Amino acid sequence: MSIPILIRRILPLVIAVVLIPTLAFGADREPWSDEIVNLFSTLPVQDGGRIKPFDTFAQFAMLQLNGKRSFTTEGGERLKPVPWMLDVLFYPRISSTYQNFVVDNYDVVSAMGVKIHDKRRSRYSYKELEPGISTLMDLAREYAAIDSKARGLVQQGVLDLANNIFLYDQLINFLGFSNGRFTVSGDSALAQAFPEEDGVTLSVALERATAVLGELKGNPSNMDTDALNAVVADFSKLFGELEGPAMRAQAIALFPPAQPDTEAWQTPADVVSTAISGVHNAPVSLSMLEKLEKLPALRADRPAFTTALRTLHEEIVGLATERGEYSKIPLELNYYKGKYIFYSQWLFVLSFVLVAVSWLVPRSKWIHYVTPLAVSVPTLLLIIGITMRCFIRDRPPISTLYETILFITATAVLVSLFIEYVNRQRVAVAMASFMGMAGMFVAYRYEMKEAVDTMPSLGAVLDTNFWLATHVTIINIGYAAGMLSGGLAHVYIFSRLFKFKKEDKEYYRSLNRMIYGILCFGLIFSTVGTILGGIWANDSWGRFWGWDPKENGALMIVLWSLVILHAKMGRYIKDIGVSQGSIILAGITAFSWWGVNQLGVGLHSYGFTSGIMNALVVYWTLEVLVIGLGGIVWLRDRNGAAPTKAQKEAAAS
Amino acid sequence: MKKIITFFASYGFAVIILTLLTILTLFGTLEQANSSLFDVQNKYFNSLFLVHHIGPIGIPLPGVYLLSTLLFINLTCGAIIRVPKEWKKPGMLIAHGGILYMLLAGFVTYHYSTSGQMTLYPDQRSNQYASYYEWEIAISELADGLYGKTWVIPGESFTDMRPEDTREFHQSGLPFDLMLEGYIPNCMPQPASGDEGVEGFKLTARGPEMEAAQNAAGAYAMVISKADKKAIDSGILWGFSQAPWVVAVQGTDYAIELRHRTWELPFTITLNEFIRDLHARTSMASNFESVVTMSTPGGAARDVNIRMNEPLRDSGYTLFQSGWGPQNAGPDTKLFSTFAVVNNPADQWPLYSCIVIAVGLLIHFLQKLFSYLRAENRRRAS
Repeated sequence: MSIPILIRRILPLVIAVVLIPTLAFGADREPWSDEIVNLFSTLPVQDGGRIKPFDTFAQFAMLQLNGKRSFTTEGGERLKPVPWMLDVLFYPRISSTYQNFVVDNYDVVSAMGVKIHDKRRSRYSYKELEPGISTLMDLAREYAAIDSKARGLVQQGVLDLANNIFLYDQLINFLGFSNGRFTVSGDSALAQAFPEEDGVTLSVALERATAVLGELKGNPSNMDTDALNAVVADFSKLFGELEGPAMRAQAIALFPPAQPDTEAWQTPADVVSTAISGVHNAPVSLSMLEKLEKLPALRADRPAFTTALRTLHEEIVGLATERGEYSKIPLELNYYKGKYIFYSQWLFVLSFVLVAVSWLVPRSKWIHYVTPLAVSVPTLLLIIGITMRCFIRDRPPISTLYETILFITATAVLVSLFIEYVNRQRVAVAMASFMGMAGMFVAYRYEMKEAVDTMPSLGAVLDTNFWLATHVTIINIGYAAGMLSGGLAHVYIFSRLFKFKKEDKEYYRSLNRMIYGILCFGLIFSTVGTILGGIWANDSWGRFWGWDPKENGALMIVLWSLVILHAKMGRYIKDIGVSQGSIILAGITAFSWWGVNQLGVGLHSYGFTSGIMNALVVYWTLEVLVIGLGGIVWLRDRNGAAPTKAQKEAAAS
Repeated sequence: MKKIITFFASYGFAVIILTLLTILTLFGTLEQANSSLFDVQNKYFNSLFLVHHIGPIGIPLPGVYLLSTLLFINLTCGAIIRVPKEWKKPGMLIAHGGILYMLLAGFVTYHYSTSGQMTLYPDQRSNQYASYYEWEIAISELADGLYGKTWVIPGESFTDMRPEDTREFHQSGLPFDLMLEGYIPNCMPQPASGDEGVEGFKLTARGPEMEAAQNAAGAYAMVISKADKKAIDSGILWGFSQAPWVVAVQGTDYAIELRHRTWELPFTITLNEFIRDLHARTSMASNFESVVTMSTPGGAARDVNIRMNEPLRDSGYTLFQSGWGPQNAGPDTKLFSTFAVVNNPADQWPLYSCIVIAVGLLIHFLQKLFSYLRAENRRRAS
């Protein structure tokens, strides 16, 4: 084969097979094996006051920075949270080129003095942002002093980005201590423990230093004052050197403490500060530190890396199991890997599409049999997801705002399916699929927006399974009923407006019975839930009723339900009025569920959220329009009921 | 008479009241973003009438107190008219009875309950609790630095004063009268220049705080001899001052202080220990707990743990774990514990009414559900 042919035929192959992957992954980076990813995923870590899988920690760190749970490198490799986190920890230089800092408003980047991308919302790499980080931190300090309610979008964006940079900075420096070599020169007792010229690693230095310290404490009289001063000076110098790199290793607490009665897990920084404060580290803590320390140097040698990781994994998992803190880790991994919520969301979409198709082919029987089944499957997945969360947390179904969305959605869908089972009008099943789809969409958006662990530790006031199981669950069933009656009221108003099935009186009668029934159902739960909330408040805060915004929201639901029911009983409103009232009730429910959280006042601070006011205003505006359309139907009814001029004349003649 | 009862029992009347209650609850909730809860409660929820402002437009409205009274009348009249007719709907009657009971609980709580707080450091004891918002002036004889007999001027006799008003207070048994010159609901003492203020200090008025409990009332005061009506001394009374104003009259020292209204408990609480647990590696509290000893005048004593959701209930009083401090405490700082103290004759009435309402609604709507199911079965059968 001639050289030109070699160049023409072989070189492109070489480039394709060797060079492109190398460029894609960086000079010293190959994809993480499944085993490595699995070993890291199943590692327990302590974060936010609870023990969780490393996988969960990585997911929410990625979500916070990147705005989603996956990232595609410029080379086209799609990174899930754990491999991404491994790149950040073990290949800081490469990960600094990943454009995984999501910025919603380019004015934030502009304020840093960094070149902006074309799109307002875009992703930037650490490398791109690096020149402006100092400016960013100055601005963040300034804006943090502004009351959160008074902050503008850019100011809040600056603070968010500064937080993300801080987190990333902590992560890329987490293993920085592993590069250090430490020694002590001279002839003090401490120096004699460090004979190596090129020094030792941090874990070895710690082990030797604490051993010498232990000996000295045991026999302090063996040493004269000069020698004692020399060794104290050496300790001070060594600990100073150790402290610098170690103090940056605080992002992940992955060492379970050896003492059974200690709750706080340790970071590498904690192990070092324990030693510096003169307390002996348990041998197992130093052993775990040593194993972790070895990993960065082995990153290019994946078999050796895997073996070292396996021993570290065994040690950590073993200790966590011994402490009784590992039992929920496999379940939580299963929960996230099973993607029950994700599949539920998309199957609800699919079921809604099926419902829409069923409207196009009203005579097709099979589709009407399949549709309830199509709604039942995502409902079942959702219920499995909620149940797993209960077991993971040892809590009732709701203890966070995120869980209210899952629970309310599941309740609304189940109630709809029950109604469908009873009346077979094919309306409730459509509503079930729509409520499921809408609810899961809200849950998804909320999780993306907040980007924090959806199973956090609870504040002291919420640490009561009795009240979470009673008041919180019951009041949220009331919320579900409020939203569902509003949803069905839309069906009624639009059906009447477009004269859908106008000859079918039974259709409208049935629809009205559904709305009325759900209003009654909701009233029971809202009333009992609201009063139970008062009784809880009486036990927690010393008063039954304090006119707190969250309490008021619940009261408004009760009051307005009573208004509708009494107005109907007094015949001040008819079917269309009940529907309009139900839409208002859904609006009030949204106010109680989300709106009051925007006020940022009151004792229910654990439910505060921000930044969804625009969505709420859009929702309420649309609902006002629908109520207006109901008004058109009402006017049409009234005019239709009144005899026309021609009819009057005909009657007169 | 029958017409009046029929009007007050009507659905229309109920709808109007409930609609207004919904609107007022909404207004009172939104207002909390700008005003203190205390002010909002007084304006919207404890009032007979109010004017709500939407921009420059003022809308006169009935207050929640008035509406609750009307709702009570509506329910009572409704019961008189409907009980004989609607005995087949026992659920509704029971539920409405429960709501009446709850409104009654609200009325009793509003008029007959007292609530305040007690703050203790470890090893401190107290049998008193102080109101969050109400003020009073206490005048106590001092003997060897200890408080003796105390005279109290209740807040309602001076908190209506404006800064330019003066008012004299006479107490039998005291050799002097107290004259207040102006009362400021929230103020701060500051150094004064020239003839301003008293003894180099003046009270500077401030706007109401978002947390009404942080309002510090103040007034200029003058002690006047009862015998010859001559001024003996002038001073400043300020709600948050660390020490009382001490005046010597006829050889006796008197401590005069403006303080939050204070009540006595029939037992004494000693704080043995305050425990604050955090979730590991966070600043989020997982538990607040006070270990106290409760001792009665008879000498009986028992140890009790008061924690979130687990108050101490005894002799009609309830003590709740409500706070701690100082907030910027270091690891070795001694923490104090604050208890909310409530004396409410209707303490558990909401719980009983909740059970009654729940049973009533359940009976009623189960009746409705079964009739709905029967109707649907008939429809499907036909």
